Amino acid sequence: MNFNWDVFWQYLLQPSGVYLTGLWLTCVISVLAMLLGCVLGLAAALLRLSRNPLLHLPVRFYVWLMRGTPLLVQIVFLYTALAAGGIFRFQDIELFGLLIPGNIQAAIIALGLNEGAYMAEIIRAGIGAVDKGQYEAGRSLGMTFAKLMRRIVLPQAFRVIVPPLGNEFNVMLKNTTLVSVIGVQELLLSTQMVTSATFRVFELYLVVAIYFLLLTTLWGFFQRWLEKRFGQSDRPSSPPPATSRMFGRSTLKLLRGR
Amino acid sequence: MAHQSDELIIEALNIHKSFGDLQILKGISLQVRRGEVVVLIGASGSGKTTFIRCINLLEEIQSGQIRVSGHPMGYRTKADGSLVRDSERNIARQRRDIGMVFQRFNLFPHMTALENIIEAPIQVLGVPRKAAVEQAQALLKRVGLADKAGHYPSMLSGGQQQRVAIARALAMKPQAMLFDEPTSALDPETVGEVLQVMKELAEEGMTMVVVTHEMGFAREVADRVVVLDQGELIEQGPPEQIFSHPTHPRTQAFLSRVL
Repeated sequence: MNFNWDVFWQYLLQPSGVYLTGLWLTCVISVLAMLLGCVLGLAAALLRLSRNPLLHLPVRFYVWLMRGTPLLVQIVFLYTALAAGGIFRFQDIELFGLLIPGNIQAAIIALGLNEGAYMAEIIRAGIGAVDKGQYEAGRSLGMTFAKLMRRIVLPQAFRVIVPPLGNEFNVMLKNTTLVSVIGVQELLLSTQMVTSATFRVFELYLVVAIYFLLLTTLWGFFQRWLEKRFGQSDRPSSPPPATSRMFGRSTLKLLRGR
Repeated sequence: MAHQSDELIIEALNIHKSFGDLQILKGISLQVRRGEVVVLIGASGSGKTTFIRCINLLEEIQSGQIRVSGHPMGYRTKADGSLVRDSERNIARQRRDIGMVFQRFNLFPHMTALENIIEAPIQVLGVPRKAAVEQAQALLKRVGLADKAGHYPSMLSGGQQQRVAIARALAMKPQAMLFDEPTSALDPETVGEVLQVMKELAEEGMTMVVVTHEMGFAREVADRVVVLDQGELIEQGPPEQIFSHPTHPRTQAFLSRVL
């Protein structure tokens, strides 16, 4: 077997600057795209509740489009195809003294747009899980729709949303590798660049896999804390036993991915 | 009770309501004076629950009019006589005047008993938090739950939850309270504590419309008993008259089944 342990340990424990930049970009793009996805998803879910077809039909179209085409195609379409067609070209912009290249903007927007469609369905399901009596109680107390949503329905829906939301972010971390095709130097592209110089393909791809495993594992711990924190007020007297937390439904969902 | 005046709090005029082809309410009219306790009785499916839900616009009506303290609720009449639903904002404002207690309590499970009670005064009426908390503590004391302020609904018994729900509705200082079968979802041993709170409320002069199967409560507390059958108001009068000398044959048939 052609495996150089020295190279492996060196890149795992003392990653070069290229690697660290890649790791940093992966995290930043994931978080920003996820935030964008949550905002879009919430807006889309609320619009879909409307009885007005002018509001809910565009949302259904958006969800249908985003879920029906490959994410990789969406990324290339947004950045490369639109520019090639002379429709829209992402320009580098300077924000707070920081130069943000066009391809990173496109990466965040493409991932966020895609995520929004999945989040819309998740949030819609969460809102649907809230008992009808909660709406009636809120209304009978004189709450408007906005207040009812913000104070009563969404906090309860959030508890249902948190487990799949954590799962979505796990998927998002891994999906950032796709934006390497538009030249964003995240972890995967950084690895490719290093391998093209060193030819240590096996060692370096193993290292990148371990990096991702590390990221998703850390996130898994955070997710478990989130679920514990926000699932609590409903059943404060009896938190679910540790075994069901480890092997229960939400964990299986976490493992399954998309 | 003794506090009645001639001022009309709730006026329902010729209310029609149907779900598709099924007519639920076939022209019900009811007037409730300030301080009056009206108990609606009737077989299941007679439309009593639907009727009180129409009063605070949880159900849409097809025709008729509802007024609370003289103000029309929820609908504007167009020139051709048809009804258009008022804006969401106006309906929300009108609902503040009417408290509602539900069969299944519908407390907010993510809030403690105290938070349930202060939520609407703070969020809807804009009461400062400190004043709202003081009021909520007084209300919890009034329903006998002063020690449960920090408890979540899931930690309370059905009867305790329903008493918190009553306090929550009272916190809005409503003109009238609607009770939709408030004891039907309770264990028998907790029914009494809820009825006791309602009785005290009636004695303090609250205007109440109560849908219930508790005939003992109707007999003891009601000023007027209203009998609904198949979407029609068939008979009404003081409890002793309805329970002892019902005139309508369908009232007689209903009472002979439940008493």
